[in-house]
Amino acid sequence: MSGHCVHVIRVISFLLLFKSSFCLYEDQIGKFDWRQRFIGKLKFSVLDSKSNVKKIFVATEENVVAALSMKTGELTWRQVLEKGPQGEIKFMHADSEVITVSGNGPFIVRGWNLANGYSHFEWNSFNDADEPHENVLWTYHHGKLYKVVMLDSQQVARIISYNVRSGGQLAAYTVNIPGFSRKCKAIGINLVCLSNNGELKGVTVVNSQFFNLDVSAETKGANCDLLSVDSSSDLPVLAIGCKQSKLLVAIKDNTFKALSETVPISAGVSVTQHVSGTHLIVLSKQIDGVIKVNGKVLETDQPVEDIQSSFQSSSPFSDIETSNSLCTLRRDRSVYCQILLSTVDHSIIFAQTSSKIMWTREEALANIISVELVDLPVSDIEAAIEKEFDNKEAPVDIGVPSGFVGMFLRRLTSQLLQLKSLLLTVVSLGESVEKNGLEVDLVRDEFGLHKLIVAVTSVGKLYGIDNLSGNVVWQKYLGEMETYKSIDKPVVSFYVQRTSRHLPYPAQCFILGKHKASDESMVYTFNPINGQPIGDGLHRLGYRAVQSLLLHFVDDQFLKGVLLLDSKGGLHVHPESQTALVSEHAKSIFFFTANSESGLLVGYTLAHSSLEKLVASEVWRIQLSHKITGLMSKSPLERVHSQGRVLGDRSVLYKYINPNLVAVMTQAEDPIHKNVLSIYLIDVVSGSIVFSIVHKRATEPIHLVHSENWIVYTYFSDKSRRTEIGALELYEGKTQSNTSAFSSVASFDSPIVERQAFILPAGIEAMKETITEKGITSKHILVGLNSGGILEIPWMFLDPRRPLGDIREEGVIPYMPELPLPAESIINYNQTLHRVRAIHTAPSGLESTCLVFIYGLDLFYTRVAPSKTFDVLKEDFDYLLITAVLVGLSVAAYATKRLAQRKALKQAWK
Amino acid sequence: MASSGSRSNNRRYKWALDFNYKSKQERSVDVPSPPGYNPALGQVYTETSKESDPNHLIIKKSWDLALGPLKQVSSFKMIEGSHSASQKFVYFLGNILSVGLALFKCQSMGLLPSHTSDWLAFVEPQIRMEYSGGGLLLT
Amino acid sequence: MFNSVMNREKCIFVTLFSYLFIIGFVQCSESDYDGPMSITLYHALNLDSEPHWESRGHMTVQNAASGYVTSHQSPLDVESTRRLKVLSDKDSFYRLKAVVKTSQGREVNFLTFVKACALVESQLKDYLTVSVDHEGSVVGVSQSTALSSCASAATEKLPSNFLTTVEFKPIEQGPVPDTASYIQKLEREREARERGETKDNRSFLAKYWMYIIPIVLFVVLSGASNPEGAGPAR
Repeated sequence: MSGHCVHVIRVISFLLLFKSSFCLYEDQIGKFDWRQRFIGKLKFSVLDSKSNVKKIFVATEENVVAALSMKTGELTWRQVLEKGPQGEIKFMHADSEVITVSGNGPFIVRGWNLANGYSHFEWNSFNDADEPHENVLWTYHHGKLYKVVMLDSQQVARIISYNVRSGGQLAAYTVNIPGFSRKCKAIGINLVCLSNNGELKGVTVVNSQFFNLDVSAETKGANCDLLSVDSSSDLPVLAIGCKQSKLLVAIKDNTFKALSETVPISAGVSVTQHVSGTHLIVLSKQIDGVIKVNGKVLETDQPVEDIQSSFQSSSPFSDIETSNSLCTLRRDRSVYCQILLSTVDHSIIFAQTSSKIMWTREEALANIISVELVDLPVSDIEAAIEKEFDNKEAPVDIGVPSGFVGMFLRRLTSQLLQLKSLLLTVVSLGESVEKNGLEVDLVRDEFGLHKLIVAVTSVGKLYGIDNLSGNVVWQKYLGEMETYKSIDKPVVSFYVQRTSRHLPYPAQCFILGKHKASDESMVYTFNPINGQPIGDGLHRLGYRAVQSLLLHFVDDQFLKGVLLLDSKGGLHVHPESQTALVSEHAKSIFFFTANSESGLLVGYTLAHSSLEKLVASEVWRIQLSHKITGLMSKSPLERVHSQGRVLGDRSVLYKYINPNLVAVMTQAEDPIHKNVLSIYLIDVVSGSIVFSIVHKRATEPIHLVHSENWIVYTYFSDKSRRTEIGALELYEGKTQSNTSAFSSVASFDSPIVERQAFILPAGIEAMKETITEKGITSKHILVGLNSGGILEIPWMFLDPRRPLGDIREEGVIPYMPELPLPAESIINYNQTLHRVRAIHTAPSGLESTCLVFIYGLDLFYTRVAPSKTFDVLKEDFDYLLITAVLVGLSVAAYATKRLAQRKALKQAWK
Repeated sequence: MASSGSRSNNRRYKWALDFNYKSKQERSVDVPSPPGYNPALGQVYTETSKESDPNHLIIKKSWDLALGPLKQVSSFKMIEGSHSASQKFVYFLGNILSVGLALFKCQSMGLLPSHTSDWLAFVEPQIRMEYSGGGLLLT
Repeated sequence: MFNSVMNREKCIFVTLFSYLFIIGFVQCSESDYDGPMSITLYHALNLDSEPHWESRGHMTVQNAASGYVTSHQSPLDVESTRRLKVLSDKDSFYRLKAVVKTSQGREVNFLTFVKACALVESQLKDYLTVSVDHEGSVVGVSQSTALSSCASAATEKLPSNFLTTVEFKPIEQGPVPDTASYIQKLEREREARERGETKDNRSFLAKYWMYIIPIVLFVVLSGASNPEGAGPAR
């Protein structure tokens, strides 16, 4: 009977799938989701003082041009240019419109409207054949854009001036600069070069007037660089940055004017207009996490007391990289400055002297590289109850009476607390709406929907973000640590060693990175709830780890160890105290490394370890003949509920669920077939290639999802000029060789592989499957489209068993080559997301619901329910009605009972 | 219970026979009616009973049939006497047969969970024997 | 449905006696896998972390495309057999190294392993799967045994020779969106519909006479019987 029930449910769900979409109702917008938009690390900035609504125009390392509101720091407008070097912003200028030069070959000159960022003009500037792409400088003066091409073979600078709006070439001439050493900057109308012997040479691009300054006394033969200094005045200023300090040099009337004293190299310098034609130099420096600002008049060297101030916030600031300032004279002739600072941890800070920090933007979040969703700890009340049960092992607290009286008292207090919280929730039920805006406690909720997003960024800054509100709860900059690289992408090993469920012990996370100054690896162990270090905190390992593995068992403190393989083949466990424990499990632990360049995969066993020393010995070796461009293993959290699939004849096709299966992609340049994409499914325990498949003329972007018993991958087909999705599904057959256990070493039959390909009429940026706690809910695939949408495709649509002819089995949709792109399946509705880097999915406490965090230039958080929310009441569930009905019925029952009693009594008296 | 039902049936049947007598009475109109007897009432009664009686019987019989299996439930204990052993056996056999028939029907309709697919939801996931990890070399 | 099993190249050779060459034949082949290639096998029978390689055998793939493989494997001597049994008793791994030398003279090392006990229980009957990529170069060699699990039944006698089956596993062609057959299917459906439509051009009566006639009959009959039934009622 139950089998048929399952069938019926399956059929119904299948029908539902067709009938209903996954879309949001209008009033649900922003209820479960939030979006945050970022711009990236600051590159150029202009403080706008003219407009009514004051803005800051910025251009960033992420190829973004934007205007920020000076008041709040929010984006007024943002334009995202091309990805990579094609969109690299080389120059920005803002007066009547924002002018940017971007690109790396043909340069694209664009003009943007100040108020709304609309494009005003756009033209290309092509380089001549002999002109290098890298040494091109740009400057703007009075409606003319100057392009300075440094031809170092001839010691010549070619200067071309354009009409900035039309792109028409106005003039072109060359300037001889003998002895220049590629260290040149174009500032205002000047081209300034620093020669190796410590001579500063300047030439005006307008009329080729030369001027020199000998700075060899300052540079002292050291390797110094020319640095630009942001200036909100007409005075061009630059700095000669050496090891410790930098020397400021202003250009006035075609002469250099060096400042009397140098400033520390880590100080942010900016120049701004001051009274009666003088200029102010604003210096800002980070000392012990506090930003100190002071300033002096450039012409007179006189310090300006008014702007001396210091800023601090809850988390310490890091070193300042660039600064820009705008100073204004008040009526009482006192000066105040607005300062825009960008720090080495990619924050953008906007402050006002003699006041406070106006706002901070955490632009490191534009470059998240790894994410975990961490369970929050239980509330204090529940913790008290847990403590009660935990009492046996913990030593009895002094002061708390032990024995049954003490236990009784503790129980009483904890239950009183519970009662209090219950009453509070009942009381606050009516006013919950008002409470919404306030900071919510970081406490685990009933359904496990409230979690903390712990994000690691490429700059080495960590963030704890509340998943419901999107607020940054904590942040931590690991200055000494930098990320590893793997296939040209920044990576770190990031694990949750202990969750919040083991009460006296706090949750613990682990990050493996590289030490900036040396070759050694660094580890940071911390509490993900507050970012505070646990144990050694940030420390160096003394060796260079090349791969890591989170162990599957916990020690007596519920901590999972991390195995680290060093570059010399040695094996370590972190924490070291787990060595003996690991050697107990050694027989079942296998480990592999893959070299993306050489295509070599090596598998290790720990079986030869002893109680004192862990040994990784090589047991298998696979030599792929091409470069590995992707590697995807299954999520360790994944659980598969259904072990097979029901066929039309009611027999079962058992899934091949190999937890040790890893999909490896290689890409080869082939003279005949152009780009060849191969996918190998490798069992990383036994080292056998379970299955391999090749696609010819398949190019980037390639994405792969590996889950349960299937693999879904996308590629761009050069032949058909379209994005295609391949799907592979692995089955053991109609019987299971071993029903109770899965051993990679013991299995020898290769699985049956079903395969199919589909067309997706869109470009793909990222792909990920949904995951739920018990794996009962059906799987959907989230696809980040290059149009900025996140498409949710039911896996059923990508099922390789979709039949072309009649429906052979229950729950399969007839094959259609092209996948539909319904607008209702875009889970981020109109919230466009730029440059999606990855999609992170995590199970919630509800089986139906999967939490989704999408990161890239923008952040987006939402939750999806692939099989609908079957385990929660509808949002609009009428609690009032059901309560009223229940109460009414109870009252009626009671009343009739009384009436009946009375009647019976009367009858008896008759 | 079954016996009491059939008895009442018999009585009704007897009563139905009385109806003939009534038509005889109709013929001899000269005999005065007993006190309190209203022939009109009787007429109406006969009229309705004449029409509904077979229907009523059919319904009654059908009900008996329908309730048969329910009534049987407790009748097993009632089998007594010298032949009770064989009777019980026959009764048992009959029940087995009917259960078998029911099963066969269910089976032919595909209602029985006799396929492995019907128990798929209860298949436990395989226990993992080896644990693996690692990935691309970190450089 | 199970075509993946079908289109696998198989090349089986068996060494029953030492120094005996047996020639196997490769069935269906489509890979451009040509030129002679030699595979030298070494195995490690020691318990230590560092393997101590000893020669096990040698095989030459004359031309995998045409399908000739020759091999010879040296028999296990008494000492090796004893050590293999020790490995098996200690539940350790039997490690195998395959050195593949291509026709261009490039040497590539491959490592693989099985549980020693499984090899012992399989009576030294094992399989070597040679995975080949789209260019015909070997990317992996993996060993498996006839019996995959160890029942820990003590085997007294071991044959002195390996009985090896070599299987070539080429990379398979990736699927492409099956637009052609889908269009055909649509075409068929359209044709069927059109054919259906031409037939349906008959009149309403012609199409549904089989339903109409019984209804009419029923109405007529019930109408005819009605006056008779109504008569006595009046």
